[in-house]
Amino acid sequence: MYQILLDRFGQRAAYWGTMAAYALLLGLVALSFSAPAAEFRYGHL
Amino acid sequence: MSKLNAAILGAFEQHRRKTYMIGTSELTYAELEADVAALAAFLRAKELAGERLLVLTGQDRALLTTFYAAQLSGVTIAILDPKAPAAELATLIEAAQAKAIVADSEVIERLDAAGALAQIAVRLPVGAEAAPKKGGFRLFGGAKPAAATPADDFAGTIAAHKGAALEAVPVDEEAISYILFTSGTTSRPKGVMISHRALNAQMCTFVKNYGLGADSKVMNLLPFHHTDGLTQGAVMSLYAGASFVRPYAFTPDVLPQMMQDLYRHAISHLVTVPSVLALTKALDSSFDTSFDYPEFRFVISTAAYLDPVLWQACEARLGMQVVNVYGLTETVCETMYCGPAAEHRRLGSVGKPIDSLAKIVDEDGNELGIEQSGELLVGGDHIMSGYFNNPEATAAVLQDGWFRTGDLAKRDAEGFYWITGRKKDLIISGGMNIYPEDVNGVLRQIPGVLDAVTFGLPDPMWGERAVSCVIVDENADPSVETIVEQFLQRASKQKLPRDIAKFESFPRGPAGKVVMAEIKALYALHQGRDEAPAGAAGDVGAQIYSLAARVLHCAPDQLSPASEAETVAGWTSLSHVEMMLALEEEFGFKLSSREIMKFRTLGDAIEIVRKRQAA
Amino acid sequence: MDILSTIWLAAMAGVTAAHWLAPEKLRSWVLPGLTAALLGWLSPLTLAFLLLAILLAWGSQRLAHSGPAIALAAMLQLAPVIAWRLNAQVPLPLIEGIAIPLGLSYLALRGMHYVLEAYKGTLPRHELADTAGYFLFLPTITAGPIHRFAPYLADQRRLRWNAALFSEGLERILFGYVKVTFLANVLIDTHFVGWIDAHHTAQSATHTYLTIVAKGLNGYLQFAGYSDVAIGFARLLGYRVMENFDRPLTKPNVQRFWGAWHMSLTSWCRDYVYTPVFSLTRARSLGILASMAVLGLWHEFTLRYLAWGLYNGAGIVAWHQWRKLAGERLERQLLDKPALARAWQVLAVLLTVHFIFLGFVLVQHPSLSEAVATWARLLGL
Repeated sequence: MYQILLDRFGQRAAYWGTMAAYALLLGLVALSFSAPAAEFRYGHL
Repeated sequence: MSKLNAAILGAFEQHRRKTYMIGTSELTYAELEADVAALAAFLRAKELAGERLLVLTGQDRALLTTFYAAQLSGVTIAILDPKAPAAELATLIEAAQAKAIVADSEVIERLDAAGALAQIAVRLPVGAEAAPKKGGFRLFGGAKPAAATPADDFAGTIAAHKGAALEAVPVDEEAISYILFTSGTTSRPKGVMISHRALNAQMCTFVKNYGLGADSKVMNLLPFHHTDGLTQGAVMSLYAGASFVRPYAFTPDVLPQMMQDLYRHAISHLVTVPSVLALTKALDSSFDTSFDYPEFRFVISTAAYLDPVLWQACEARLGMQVVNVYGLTETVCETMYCGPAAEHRRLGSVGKPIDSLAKIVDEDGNELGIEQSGELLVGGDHIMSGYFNNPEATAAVLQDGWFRTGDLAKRDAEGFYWITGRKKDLIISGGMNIYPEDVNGVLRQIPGVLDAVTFGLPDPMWGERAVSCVIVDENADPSVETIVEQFLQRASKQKLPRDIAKFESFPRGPAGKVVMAEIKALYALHQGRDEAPAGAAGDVGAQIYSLAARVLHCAPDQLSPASEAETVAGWTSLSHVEMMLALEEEFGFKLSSREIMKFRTLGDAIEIVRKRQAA
Repeated sequence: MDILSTIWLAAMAGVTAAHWLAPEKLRSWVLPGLTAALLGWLSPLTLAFLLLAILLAWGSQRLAHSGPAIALAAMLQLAPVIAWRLNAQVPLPLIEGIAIPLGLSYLALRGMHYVLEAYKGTLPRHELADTAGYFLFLPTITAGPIHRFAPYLADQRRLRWNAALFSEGLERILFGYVKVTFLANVLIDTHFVGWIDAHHTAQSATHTYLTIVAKGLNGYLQFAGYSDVAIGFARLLGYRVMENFDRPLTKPNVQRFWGAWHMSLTSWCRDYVYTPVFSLTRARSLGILASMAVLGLWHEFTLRYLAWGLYNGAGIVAWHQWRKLAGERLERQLLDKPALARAWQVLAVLLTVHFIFLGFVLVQHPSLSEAVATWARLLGL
C-alpha cells in the first residue's frame, strides 16, 4: 500500500496515508472480529 | 595526489562504519583503513615508491590491504596467481623486476626452492588466516612452523606499524598503479601497465553506469589476479562506498551456495562470466527464484563472448537482466556496455562505448562505415600505458592514442557494436585468455613432444575450448596422460588444452606454416564420432523453435529453452496441446505420459526429443 | 483451528517470535517442531497422518523408476482423504464418528504433488528433514494454498530476516482479516443479506438473485481472506508462498476465471489430472472435464459437487468452442473499435461472473433438485 501511495503522492503523504489506513482497517477488524461468522466451507472446514 | 588516491582516502573517510568486504569474515572500511595505513607506513619506510611489489596470496584481506597501501605509497603492484606452477611464476617474476613480495608462506617457500626470489629483498609472508576457513583444511594441513619470525611476516609488519596515520605520498596520474600479465608462460611476458589515471577513469565509469552507491552490494567471485575480479569487484565497490561480497572463490560446486547467498546477502550486482551462467542451466527449479527480491539490480557478464541464446534463456528463466560488457585487461577492464540502460541494450551485441572512443578499421587502418567488419580500435582515459619492458609489443597495439583490440567487430546504424571474430591468436575459454603460442611453447618443452599446434573450437559451456595437436617422437611416444601430467608441472591448469590429439605430421603451406583450416578439419575427422551428434542436437533446437513459433504465432527469436506458458503470450493450455501434437507429428513418435507430464518448457521439449533420438 | 480463533492468533505470534529468536543453526527445526507440537496438542490424529505422509513421500522417491509403484504411492497419499470423504456419506468401520483430521484434503494434494514430481524426476536434491519441513509448514496446513516443494525448499535454504517481507506479511494478514471479518461477515453476510431479507419477498426472483450474489461474494472474500492470512503468516517467517487468487471476479471468460480462483488447486489439477488424462486420451475436452470433476469431488464426495465440477468443465469446453468458431474473429474485428471492445469486455466479465455464481447454487443446497428449483425461481417459475 505504501508503495502505491508513494508513487502518486510522495513520501510524507504515503507514510501518513498508510498509517491512517492501517489504523482504520485495524479498527474495522477489531469491531467485526466477534461478529457472527458467515457459513463458509471449502473442502477443509 | 592522484585522483585514485584521493578516492581511496575519501572512501575511508566517509564510510568508516560500513562493511567493506564480506569474505570469510566481515571487514569494515575502518579495519581495512587501519591495516592499509600500517602497511603504507612500512612501504614508505622501505622507500619503495616507483618500484614494483609482487603479490601472490589467496587471502583476500591481505591482498586488498597491499593493493591500497601500494597505491597510496606510489608503489606499482603486480598480482600473480599463487596457484600457478613455480616454473611459470619464475618467468613472470623475472619479468616484473620487483623489489618486494607479499605472498602466502608456502608460496614463498616454493618459489625460494625454485630459486625465483633471489633478487627480492623485502619479503612479507602471509600466514594462515586467524579465522578458520569454512570447510578449509588449513588447520590440519600439517603444522609447518612459519619460516620467518612473527615480526617479519605480513601480520607482524601490520602490527608493528599499527596506529600509523593514513598518508598518501604525491603520486602522478601517469604513475603505474598495477601490472597484470596477460600471457607469457615461456615466451616474453606481456605485463599490462595500468596508470592511476586509467584506473580512476574506469572506476568512475563503473560507478556511473552500474548505478553503484553506498547501499549497493556487489558479489564477484572471480580471481584477483584477473582484472574482472580485482577492478570490477573490490575496487569499484570501494569507489562507491558499497559492500563487496566474496565469501569463497568460484568453483562449479559452490554454484548452489552462490545462488542462495544472493538473497541472503541481498546482493544488488553479480559480476560473473558466461560459463557460470551456462552452469545455472543444470540447477533444478528450486533456484528459479534466486534473483527474485527487490534489492537485486542486474548481472554483469564479463570476460568472454556471451551466447545470445544463453543470455536470453538465463534472463527468461531466472527473471533478471544480464548486462553484457566488453573489454580487455589493456582497457583496465571494460570499454563497451550492453545495458543496463535500455538505449544501450541490444541482445547479442556488446552495446555501446561509454566514456570511451571506438572505431573500426580495415587492414590499412582506414576507418570503416556502418555494418562493415574490421578490427576494433578503442581509445580513452582508460587505455593502458603499455606492456612493461616490452616496447615492441606496445608499439604493435598502441598507435596514435588508439589501442588495437585484435577483435573484429562491426557497428550497426544505431551505434551498437557487434563482435564478429578475432584477429589475434587468442582463445577465450570460460573467461580465461589462452594464447596458443604459450600452450605450444609449454608442449614443446615436454620430452618426446616434437611440435604442437593449438587452436580454439566453439564450446557450449566454455565459449571456446583449446585443442592441441602434437607430433611426438616415435621412440619416446609419450601417452596423452603423460603429456598432461608434464604440462601441469610447467603451466597452470587454465592453460591446459581440453583435448590433445597425436598427429604424424601437420599440413603445411608453401612457406612451411601450418595451415590452420586444414588441421582443424583433420582434427574434426579424428573426432568425427564426437562432433556429429552435437551438430544434430543443435538442429533439434532450431526445429523445435520454428515449430513453436508456428504454433504459438510468434517469432522464433522470441523463444528460448525457458519459454513456457507464463512467458509466451500465445501459449495457453490450448496451444500447449497443439504444441504436443505438433511435436509428435514432426518427430514421428507418440509422447509417453511421463514425457507429457514433464513437458512444460521448450527446453523440456528439446530434451525429450534428444533422448528419443539417442535411444 | 480457525483463523478467527484466539489460538490461531497466539500461534502466529508465538511461532514467528520463536522462529526469529532461535539461533540460526536451529532455525530450520523451529517451525516443523512447533507445528508438530501444536498439532499433537490440538489433534494427535492429524499429526499422525502428517508423519505418515512424510515417511511415505520420502520412501516413494525410491520407487520413481516404476510407474505402477508410483501410482500406488500416490494413491496411498490420497487414501485417507478418500476414506473420510466416503465416511461422510456412508459410515465406514474404524473411522466412523471420527472427525476428519485438520487439512487432510490439502495434505493429500501436497503428498501427491511430491510423489508425482519424484516420478518426473524434478525434485531438487534434499534431505528427509526438508520433506518434513515442507509438510509441517504451519501457515498453509489448514486452508492452503497448496504450495509446491521446490519453491519451499528454495526459501528454506536462503532464509534470512527480511524486514520488508515481514512488513508485507503484516499488511497481508491485516487485509485478510478485513476481508473475512469486516467485508464478508459484517458487510455482506449481516448487512447485505439483512437488507435483502428486509426489502424483498422471500422466494421472489429478485430475492433469489441477490442471495446468489451475496453468497458468491461472501465465498470469494472468505477464501481470499484465509489465503491472505496464510500467505502473510508465511512471509512473517521469511517464506514466499504462491498466490491463490488473482482478482478472479474481473476475468472475461471461464478459463481465465479458473486460472485466477484457488489457483494453487487449479494448477494442481492442470499438472496432475489434465495432463495425464490428455496424454492417455489425446482429447482436450475430456482432460478439462476430468480436471474439473476432480476439482469438484475434492471438496466433497457428492453428486452435487460432481455436477458443479462438470458444469464448470463444460463451461470451459464451451468457451474454447466459441472462441474457435466466432470469438477470435470477433476480437479481431473489435481491435480498431476501442469503445465497442470495452463494452464487450464489460459484458464478458459480467457473463463470466454470473456463470460462476449460478454454478455455486449447485453446491449451496443439500440436493440437486433444490438447486434446480432455485434456478427456476430466478426465472420467476
